[in-house]
Amino acid sequence: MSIEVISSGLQTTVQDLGRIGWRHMGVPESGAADKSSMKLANQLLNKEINSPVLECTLTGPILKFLKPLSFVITGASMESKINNTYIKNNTPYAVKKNDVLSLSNCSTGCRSYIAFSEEIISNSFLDSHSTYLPANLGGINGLPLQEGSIVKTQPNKLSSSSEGNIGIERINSYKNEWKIRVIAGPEFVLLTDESQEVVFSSVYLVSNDTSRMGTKIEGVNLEFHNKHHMLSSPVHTGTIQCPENGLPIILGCDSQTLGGYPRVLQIAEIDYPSIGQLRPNDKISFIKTSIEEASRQLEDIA
Amino acid sequence: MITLGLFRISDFSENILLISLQQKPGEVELTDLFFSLSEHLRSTKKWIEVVSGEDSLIVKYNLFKTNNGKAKEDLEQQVKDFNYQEQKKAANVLTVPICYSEEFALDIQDLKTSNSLSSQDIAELHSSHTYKVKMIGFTPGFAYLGDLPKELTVPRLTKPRVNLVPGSVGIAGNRTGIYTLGGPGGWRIIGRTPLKLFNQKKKNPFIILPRMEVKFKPISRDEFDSF
Repeated sequence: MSIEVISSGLQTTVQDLGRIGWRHMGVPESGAADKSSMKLANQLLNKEINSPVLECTLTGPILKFLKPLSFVITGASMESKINNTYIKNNTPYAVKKNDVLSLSNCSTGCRSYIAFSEEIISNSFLDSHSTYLPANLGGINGLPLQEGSIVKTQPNKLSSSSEGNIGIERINSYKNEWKIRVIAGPEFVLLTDESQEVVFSSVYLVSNDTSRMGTKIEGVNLEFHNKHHMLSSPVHTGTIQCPENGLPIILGCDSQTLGGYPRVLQIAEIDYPSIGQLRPNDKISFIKTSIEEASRQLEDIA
Repeated sequence: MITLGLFRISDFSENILLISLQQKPGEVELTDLFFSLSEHLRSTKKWIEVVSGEDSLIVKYNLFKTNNGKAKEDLEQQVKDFNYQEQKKAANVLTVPICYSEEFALDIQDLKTSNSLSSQDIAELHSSHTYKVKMIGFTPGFAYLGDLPKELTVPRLTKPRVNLVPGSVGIAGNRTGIYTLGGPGGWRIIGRTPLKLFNQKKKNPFIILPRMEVKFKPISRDEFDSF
């Protein structure tokens, strides 16, 4: 008995760094939609980087601690409180038995991550605890947290040295506007000359149709030279496909592994975490980057 | 861009390379060629992911262990070392029971009209062919099977269904496939199988594998229920 779920939040799931190496069998990478915030949560508690955390979406859960624990919240800021006191993101807190942690809504970003000093007990499939809802893989019975259920935890294998506020504070600078670095995808050349420019000069809006699988965006319709037919081909997290209606779809960490629409752009990995923080009505501009620049930026954050 | 005869290696992203075809290989069966190449590349254990389609594949590399230039060199070498021999031995044939009952065949009416076929024609045509596994992917354990007999060729639904029942058997273009999960899908549904083609609780969760062949065996509604 560790944590009681008083309220589940909109969609709260157990996530880690994902299921790597199984895309050839149709299994997506999954894991935290914003792996950068997820890793930070574990780092702040001196935990192993791949330890499962809770991923909260738009509206977070209300959790009652049934034993003393420490925790930290990263990612989107959801006006979190311990009992009646507001707390900060990116700051570890220690709680007593019967303390209640409540997360509310966020106005920028989309997902928060909660890491605990103990290990969350959850299912593992193909070496990952990440919850993949379409197949109920990993997590707690492959489902989002359920109201009234108990999240079990067990002492961490590594010794967690975090006690109370260790004074680290980083401010997430999420705005409702995103600049996302992209590389031309394999079918970029099928776009008309005009669309090849418009995709970089116009601003797209995140639609309401957004999930861990994919995000439909709205704006100027992209056009192709002529009708074409392609065989379904490999896609990846961050692939931007464009179906016949001309409105791009950004593939997320739970996306399919093969797709039949032209792959017009590919988001650079350094900006994958942004995909997980997109919320409806956010604005997106795509910034063209090169293979060299994108590699350098990714190496720099290592 | 490096060209290696048949194949072209290009950048898909800063840490993913794409292998596509430079030219159509004469008599070679593409599906088998790409399954073999992808197995060969996976066996080197140099890549984070190797994912093949019918006529291309992508490999993901670890930028913290290699770089773009080195990864391309490695891939080029591995493609050179790839000694392709078409599989001569008979494929494993998996028999999949299917019930074509109208209550499962959600799109059969459209198909009867568009392709001028009776329900029985559709069931007979679909179950009288043996299909090759053309690709694996989309969702866990999903396989693209083909080719469908010409008479059954049909476009995808213009608007995908939101919530399919697992086991639904669909057709689209010259492919047929079995939805392993519930959820959205744009193929036209002509029946349902009681067989679970992806089962996370099994030691081998994936039933359909590369190079298998699949044959559908019609079963009645009663047999479906007692399966």
